[in-house]
Amino acid sequence: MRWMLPALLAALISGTTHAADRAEAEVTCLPTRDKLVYDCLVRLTNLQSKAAVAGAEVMVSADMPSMPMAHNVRPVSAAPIRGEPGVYGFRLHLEMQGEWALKIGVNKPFRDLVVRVLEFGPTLVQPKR
Amino acid sequence: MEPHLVGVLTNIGMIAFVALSAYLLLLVGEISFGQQAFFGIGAYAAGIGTAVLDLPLGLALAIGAIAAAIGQLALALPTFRLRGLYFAMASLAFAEMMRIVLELTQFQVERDGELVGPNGAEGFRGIRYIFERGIEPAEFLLLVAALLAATLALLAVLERSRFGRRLRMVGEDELLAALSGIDVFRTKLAMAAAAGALAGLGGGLYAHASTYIEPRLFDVMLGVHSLAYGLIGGLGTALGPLLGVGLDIGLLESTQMFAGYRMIVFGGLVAVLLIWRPRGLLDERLLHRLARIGRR
Repeated sequence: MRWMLPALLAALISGTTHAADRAEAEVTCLPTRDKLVYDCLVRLTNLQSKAAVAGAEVMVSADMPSMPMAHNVRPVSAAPIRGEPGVYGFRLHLEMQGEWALKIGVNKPFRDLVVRVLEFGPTLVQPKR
Repeated sequence: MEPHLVGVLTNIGMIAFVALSAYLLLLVGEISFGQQAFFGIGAYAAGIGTAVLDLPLGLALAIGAIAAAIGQLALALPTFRLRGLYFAMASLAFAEMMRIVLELTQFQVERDGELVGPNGAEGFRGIRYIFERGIEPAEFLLLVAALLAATLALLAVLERSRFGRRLRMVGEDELLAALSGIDVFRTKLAMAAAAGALAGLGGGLYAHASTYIEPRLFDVMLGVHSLAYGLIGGLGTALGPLLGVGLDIGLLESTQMFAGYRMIVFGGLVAVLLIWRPRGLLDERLLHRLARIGRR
């Protein structure tokens, strides 16, 4: 706790540094037989090197853009898909159909957060933004 | 602390700023359905500050708060002279107008081979200050909590001051307050500026926690919720809106097993409370009673 405050103060007053590793995420989802349950895949690549981000620790949460912070679903962890480096699978249990912003949090090998907005329908999921 | 809990507490802290901004306006008797606009202005301005202009986070948050305060003053100046529900209607119209302006705003620059900045309806990506600085979620929560605690302390001092009593007089009866020598218009303008700044500060924090913002986030739902938090928690103290946010988010999080139906909880809670306690849980009467018990 003692080191947190000086670190925060330094962060508040110092300028931006760039060149940290960044992730690019491509998400595809498909409806399952269960209502409002979707199986999704996220393909993670390093934005700079374009290489697949293998061995990553990935957590995905979903937020409804019309009510940010309040209308969300619990984060789920995404598991690596065997034989496809940089691809992770997860199952989403949504509360209603419509636009959801998926927040893809990467913890390892670097920290990043990528947001992708998708339209979840009964038979189709379309990427929006 | 569990990462999800850190996220929930950070959300509570960030929403509390916009709830407090609506509360400040309620104190002077004005209902605003448009505080989401100032949350959005703060988010965009602070995001541009760090992501586009390379400013330090503290300065970017301050710019966001100032931009939102100016926005709120621009709305309050022509509407506070009117009586009735004009301000409430104008705030809603202003918020929708602002959302459309954000949908049309494009201001992107290249950073590390990628375009960053507002890109109209596509949103504003790449507000990555906290990731580039290696600020952990728990540290960011600490920052939000510290800023919120400072705000609450400032409001506690304000409410106990002479100016605080003037605010409540203006909120109770403008005519009587004016007859007592209070400059009602200026008092309300001061509160509008403070309310705008608080919403803007919350927006700036949100933009950095989320890394991505878009105009749709600043929709009327956020405005209605921010107003409702004060009505749930109570208008007797600045802790009221915070209690309202905590109750709502706490209830929503603890009732996840009810899926979409849990959203009904919020509407039901507001309806029941408005009948049972029209000025919220921590209303003036309860606070006076608690103060009397404390003095004994």
